[in-house]
Order: sequence, then structure tokens, then C-alpha cells
Amino acid sequence: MSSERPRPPVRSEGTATHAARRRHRHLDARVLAKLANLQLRVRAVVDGTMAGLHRSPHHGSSIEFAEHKDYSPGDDLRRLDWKAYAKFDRYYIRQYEDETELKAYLLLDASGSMDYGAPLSKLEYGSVLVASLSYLLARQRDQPALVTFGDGIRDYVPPRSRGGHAAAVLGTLEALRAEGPTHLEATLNKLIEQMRRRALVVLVSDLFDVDEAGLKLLRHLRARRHQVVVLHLLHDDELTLPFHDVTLFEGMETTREVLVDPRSIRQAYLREMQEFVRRSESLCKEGEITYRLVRTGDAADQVLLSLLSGRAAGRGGRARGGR
Amino acid sequence: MSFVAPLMLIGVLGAAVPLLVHLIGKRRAPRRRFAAIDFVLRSNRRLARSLVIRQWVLLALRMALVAGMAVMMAKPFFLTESDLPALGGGAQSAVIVLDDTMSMRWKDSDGSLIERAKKRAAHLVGVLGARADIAVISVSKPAGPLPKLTRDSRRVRAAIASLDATYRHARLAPALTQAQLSLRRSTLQGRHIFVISDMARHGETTQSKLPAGIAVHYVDVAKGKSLANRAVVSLTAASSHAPGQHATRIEANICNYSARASRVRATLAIDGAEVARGLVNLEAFGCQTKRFEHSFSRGGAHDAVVSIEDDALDVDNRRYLRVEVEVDIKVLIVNGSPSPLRHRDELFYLSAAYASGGEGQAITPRVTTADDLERVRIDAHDLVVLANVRELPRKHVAELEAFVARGGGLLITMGDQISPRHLNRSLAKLLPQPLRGVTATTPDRSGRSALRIGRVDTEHPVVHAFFDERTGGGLRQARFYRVVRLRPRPGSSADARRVVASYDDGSPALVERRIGSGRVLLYTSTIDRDWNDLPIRPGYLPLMQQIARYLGRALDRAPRPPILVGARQRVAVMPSKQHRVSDPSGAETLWSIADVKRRKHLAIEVSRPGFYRVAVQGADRVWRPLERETFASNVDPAESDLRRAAADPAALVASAPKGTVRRAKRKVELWHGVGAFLLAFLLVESILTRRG
Repeated sequence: MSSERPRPPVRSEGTATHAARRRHRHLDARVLAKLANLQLRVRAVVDGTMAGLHRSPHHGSSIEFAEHKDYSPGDDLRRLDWKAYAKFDRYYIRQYEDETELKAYLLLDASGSMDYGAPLSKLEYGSVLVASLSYLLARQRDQPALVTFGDGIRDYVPPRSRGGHAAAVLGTLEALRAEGPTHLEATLNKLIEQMRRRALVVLVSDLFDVDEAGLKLLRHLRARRHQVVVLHLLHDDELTLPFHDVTLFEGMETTREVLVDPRSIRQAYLREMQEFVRRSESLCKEGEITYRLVRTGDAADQVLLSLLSGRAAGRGGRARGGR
Repeated sequence: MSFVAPLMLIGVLGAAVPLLVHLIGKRRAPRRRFAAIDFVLRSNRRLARSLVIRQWVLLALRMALVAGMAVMMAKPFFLTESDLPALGGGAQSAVIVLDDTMSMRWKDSDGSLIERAKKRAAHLVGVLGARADIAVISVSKPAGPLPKLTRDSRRVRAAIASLDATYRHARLAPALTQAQLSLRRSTLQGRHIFVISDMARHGETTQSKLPAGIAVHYVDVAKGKSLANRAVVSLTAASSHAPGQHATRIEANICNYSARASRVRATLAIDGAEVARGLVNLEAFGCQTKRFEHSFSRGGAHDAVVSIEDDALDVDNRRYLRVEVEVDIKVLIVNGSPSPLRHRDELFYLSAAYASGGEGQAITPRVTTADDLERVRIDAHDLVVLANVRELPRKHVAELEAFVARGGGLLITMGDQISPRHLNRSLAKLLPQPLRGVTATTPDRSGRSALRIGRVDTEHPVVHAFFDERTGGGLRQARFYRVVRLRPRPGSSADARRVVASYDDGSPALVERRIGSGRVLLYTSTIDRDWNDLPIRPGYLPLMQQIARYLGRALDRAPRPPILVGARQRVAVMPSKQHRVSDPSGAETLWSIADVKRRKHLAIEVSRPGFYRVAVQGADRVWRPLERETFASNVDPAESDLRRAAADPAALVASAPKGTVRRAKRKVELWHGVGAFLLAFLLVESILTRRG
């Protein structure tokens, strides 16, 4: 059990001017695509995110009360609960959760369907998000882990907080290719075995071909008091089906194909897609899982900022603090 | 179908273009890898059927548009053959025979047959042209409305317009004869007779061969169909043994002239009020008798109507009948020799005879004396008996004369009270023959030289019912000891009187005289046993009862035979009275006193079905109905059968030559219709494309 150790608030490295915020607010897929490699993209995103943050989202929330125990000689008198003494006329010592660096498991879907999108595919966009998040967590001495999966776990970078860990994450992500089907259930089953302590789980996926069992496992994680965040990553094309001509559509994870006139099915398609998004969000909310729909057209820094700042921080604090 | 420019039909091959575009476009569709393929598949599956249908419809519409354009440019047309001959507009003469009989009242959603016939006739006038001489005659009345040929088309059209369907039944033959007569005066080359009719079998007739040069053309307004119809074809009434007062059985025969069995509701109305109804199942082309039992609350004449639900021809769905229900015969007996001793009374035997009843109407006697006649209304009785009455006051004699003239009956019997001289003077206008004097046939009552009944007029209604030569009807056993001899009536014709029975010496025993509408019988002996023993013979009772029925006109009350529309009904007139006849529509015809002065009957032309009512105006200027003269008329049931006459309409006139003139042909261009269809296709195509 570590001692109470207030963390320094995460502050921006420079002055968070409005101009800087405006500049970084448009770090969407098109802009990020112009940056040559993942490292540059992450840096841009992190800069933008840091500029938007005024304080650490985890400030003062690292000490978690657990229970009372009877006082016994030798206990630290600073932890004596005077209010309980006044109430019950007995000495109680306040005990706290085991305090250590937060382990954050960043799960990135690398199935074939994540390969969709240009100039930046969903996988590339998701990689930027995951890498940036990894960097930010490492900065505040948490231990980010990277899990890429498709049919099963494809890459695993274990949680570390030491220097050089970020480089390992970036290296893994740079080498990542989207292929194969999605099998979230198998991935989570293996991961759960390693998650003995409460941790933060961030899933970045388009959730295509994710079955009920996979989502149930996410809820199971939440039930085990892990904080779970789902970043539902979709391309604008998938949300709007903007095609006009008769097209032969081919699957990206399967060999299925269909020739249709997109205009004729657009209404039905949009209904199906809206129902899919609504249902995904509904299932997450029912399991107290933080859900966020992310479009590849959204600025990545803004996505992280909204996740980490005010509202997202509040949710995170509550999640970390218990129910 | 033909085409003005058939080469343009090559363009129909262009219909393949949309199909080729569809097939090529399908092959050249861009390929796209798409992550959300499952959603595309699901959406496509849900819409698959409607999409496929829509796509096929679109493809078909586009192909039809291309092909239709080619067809339209080829200008399609076809030639139709009219039911009118190719007459041209040259000088010719024609007679239009328009069927206006009852069956032409049949109607459906397209209107009545007569309306169609009039339209065809008006169209025919236009086809014949301005140089044609045309006459118009109707089948029901061939003499009208325009039997003479005229070139004035306005008159012809007016004549056609004036025709309407009647309630009559008629055959074609008289109309065709009239048509020949009309054409006989024509000197023009082409002579035609156009028969515009429903061609039903009831119009079948035979006709002598038409003269050469006359062509008959048939225009069938029923368009070759057998028209369905139901009708009440007969209605009869007879007394019934069913319980109840004046029980009467009324039978209606209902026929179904269609190939489909049906069930109809028949309704009986008496005097305008519905009294019974029932269902009748009718087989295809079958008839069924519907029987009603009805009890009349009072005797006399009643209006009976049996009707069924209306159909396309509603005029034959009801039938009318006057039902005569037997009534009591009211007899006023003036007793000239009353006696407190019952068996000595003059009416002892007569009362017994009247009271005995028997078949037929009851006889209700009322007895009075000459002195008490003041208190009695003679008019309230059917018959007056003067039994051994010596003399009547002059006032009552005049009253009695009027009573007889109006149709009342009078029986005069002899006896010891009468005085031939007085009676000849007072009843001079009533006696069939003057009385000469009383003759005693034998000084004693041994009967050996008594008179007996000799010759009997067996055809007379008084004796016809019971008299036969073998038994003598129970009359020949009677012996007559004293009788009154008669003198010949001066200046009277033999027809004025009729001897019903004579004694064996030839002198009259029972003599009849008709005065006005009334009857007088003179019996030259006594009604009791004073002068004869007839009252104790078997013939007495039937004779007295028959005399009462005959003079009370009970024997005349048999229902009138059915009167059909188109016939004439004779109605007996009352002298010196104004007459009024109301037809079923309520229209009234008046006959003044001058009109009826020299007539015995009025001839009423029956033009519509229903009840015709006759009334006379009394001195008090009040109209009183003559119930006996009211009669019912009905349509001819033959008109109800609308089945086709034969496959060939010429069979309507068995030996008439069918018109051999070439039929008119008309070119009907279709490109307008094709163009309209193409516009509609274009509209649908654009809507479907827009929705896609």
C-alpha cells in the first residue's frame, strides 16, 4: 500500500492560447494523413489535447477510501477517523485502496473492416487515438498497455510506465495491418485473465461483427469494477452511404459481395445503421460503459479532449472511484 | 388492325435498347470494398422484392415506351362494321319501325331499351342523309306517329322523340305491313325498313313475303343478349274452405325468365293495404304458383294486387284483380195478405224457402206491407217482392220504377188480393205483360184437371241450375188450380219479355222483362198454396232461391275476365247520368249526359295496368262509384319473356327477306389512344425513377 501521494496536475507544456486551440481543433483524418508517420501524428494530437486541458483529469482522485478497521497500537494516528469517534465513541482507522499506477489496456480493433477509409483508414485513425492516449497516460505515470486484435490477440504490449514504453507502442502500431475477421470475445477472455487489479479498458473498434458475447464480456469487465470506455469508430461513408451509382459492394472481412443501387437502399441502410449505433450505445449504457461515437471526420485531439476533460473526467473519476 | 405506315414498326426493335442498357450497366458497375457490407446486404434483402419488381416495371415501361413510340408512328387503325347498312347519303326512302312495346321499358345502368332505340333511330336519320324520305312508325300503333314519308328531318326527329314505351304487347307484322304501305308510294330506288327492337321472342310473328326491292334491317338494342326478367303473369281468386269470414284463395303465377334461379318476395295487397307476403323460389326459366288465403271482413268488390320486388322491367312485377266477395241478398217483401195465423200467411212458404240457406249467398228478407212501405228505403235492397199486393201508392210505384231502372230486381206474384185492373194501371211500366184476369182451372180441388208446368226455358239462369227434363226439376209435379192470364203487351217487341216457364196449356207461368238495368219477373200464380201446391213440391225451394239470386244480381257477380292493356272495356251506362272514368294514373275522362244519351255502353281504351274506376254523378252532384263497373287491367304476360327470338333476328319475321345491303364500315384510328398510354407510361416511369 503506497502512501498518499498527490499527483501533480497535468498541465499544458506551453501557454494554452486560443490560437493554439484553434490550430489543433482541426486535426481530423485529412490533416493527420498529411503527417508522414504515426509519431508526428501523435505529437500533433497530444499537443492539441494538452493545449485544451487545464488540469489533470485525475487530480486528487488517486486516494480511494476502502473501509474502517479498529484502532490498534502502532497505527498511524493521521488516519484516525475523528468523526467516527465522535459518533460511536470508538477509535477507527480509515483504510484506503491499494494505491499504485493505473493500468490502462488500450484495445485496438485491427480486423479487415478497419482498413476502410481514405486518406486515413479507420485503423490509422484509431492508431493515432490509441497512441496519443498511451502517451498521455504514460505522462501521468499510469501504465498503458496496447492490445491489437482481430480474430484473436495479435499484438500485446504489456502495461509499463518506464521510458521507452511509448516507443514500443508506436512501433507496434506502425507495423499494424488490418486484416481478418473480428473476434472480440476471444480477445477479452484472454485479457481478463491478466487483469487482476482494477484497470482502465479502452476499446477502439467499429464494432462490426462484434457479437453479443463480446459486448457481454465488456459488461463483465465493468462488473469487476474496471473502467471501460468504448470509442465506436466509424467512417463517414459508413454513416451516410453517399454513393450514387450502381455498385458492386465487396466485404472486407468476408468474400460476400452484392450489386445494388445505393440510392434505392439508402433509406433502409441508414435505418439499419442508426439502429446499430443506437443499440451499441444502449448496450454500453446499460452496462455503465462509457460510449462515444467517433467519426473519422472528427478532430482526434478534440475526441481525446472531450474524453479526458470535464465530463469525461467526471465519468472517469466515478468509474475509478467505484460505482 | 392495320397500319398507315407499317415500316415504322421496325422501330419496335428499339424496345431491346433499355434491356441492353440494363445488362451492360449491370456488367460495368464499379466495385467497392465496404466495411458495412452486412448492412447493405440486410437493407437490400429487405427491399429486394419490391426493388426487383420496381426495376422490372421500370424496364418494362421503358421498353413499352420505345415500342409504343414506334407503334404510334405507324398510325394503327381498325375498321368496324356498324349494325347499320352502308347507306350513303343518296336519295332513298326508309321506314323506321321503332319497337315501343312494354318490354322496351327494360332498363339497366345504360338506360332503358326505348332510350337506346330512340338514340339509334336518331343516329340512323343522320346516316340516311338529307336526301332521304323517312317515315317513323311504332310497333304498338303502326298508324303513327309519322306514317308518311317525309324529307323534313326535323319532323322525323320530333316523331322519334315523341315515342315512348307503352304498356302494350304487339307483334311486328302489322307494323311491317304499314311500313310496306308507306314505301309503296316511294319512287326512289333504295327502299329500306329498319326495325329497331329488343328482338325478344314475344315479337315473333309470321309475315307474308315483302315486295322485291325492300330490304329489312334489324337493329338490336339488346345487343344480342337475353335479358333477365321476373314477372307475375297471372292472378286468380276463388272462394276457399279455409276458416274465416269470406275466405278467399288468391293465386299468383310468378315466372323467372332468366338462366339463374332466384328467390323473390311476393306481397298481397287488398284495397291498397299489404295483408300478406311470402317467399317464392324460382328455378331458371321456371314458374311457381304462390297461394294466399285471405278472409275479407266484408263482402263486395275488392282490389287485389300481388307484387314482387322490382327488377329491370318493373311494370310486370305486379298484377291486379277485382275480387268479388259474395254478399247477402237483401230482399224487401211487400206482403199483400198478411195473417196472424202463420200457416195462413202469404209468406209462410217463401220465408221458409229463403231461410233454408244452401249454397251461395244468404238471402236476408225484410217483410213489410204496402202501408208501411213509407218507412223503408227501397234503394237499400237488391230485390223487391210484391206478394199478392193489391195496389201500391203512386209515390212508391215511381220509386220502384227508378229502383228497377238502376238495376234492382222485382218479383210480382198473384193472389186473391190483386185486381188486374188496378195492377195494370198502377204497375203499367213494370209489368212484363198486362194482366187479363184470374182463371180458375177447375171448380174443385181434386186436381185432375189442374194446370201443370209445361215448357221451360232451361237456358234461363233461374232454372238452368236445377231443372232437367227427366225430373222436371221438381216443378212438373206441381198443380195449379188458379192462375192469372196475361194479355200481349201492346207495341212491345218480343225481346222485351222472356217467358221462363209456361203452363201446359201454353199460358205464361213466369215471365221476365228487363227495364233499364233492372229485371222484373211476373209469376202468374200465388207464392203460397192458395192457388197451387208448388210450395210443397221439390222445385219450389230452388226456384225461389234462384229467382232471388237472379233478380238480386248475385248470379252476375262472377269476376270479369282479365282485361289486357290495349283492349277495350265496355262499361254499362246509367241513363241520364254524367259518367266519370279514372284510369290507374288518376287521369279522369268525363262523359256528359248528352254523351251517354243514346249509348248502352262506354268503350274505354285500356292503356295502362291498374284499376279503372267508374262513377256517376247523382242529382245532388255527388259522384258515386259504380263498383260493379270498376275493372282491373294488366299487361300482357307475353311481353315479360325477353329471351332471344332466334340467332338470326330475321326469324322475327319468318318469311321476310333479310337486308342484303353491305354493312357500313368505319375507320377507327388508334394512335391517339396509344399516345395517351405512352404519356401515362412516361409519367409512371418518372415517378418510379424519382422514388428510386
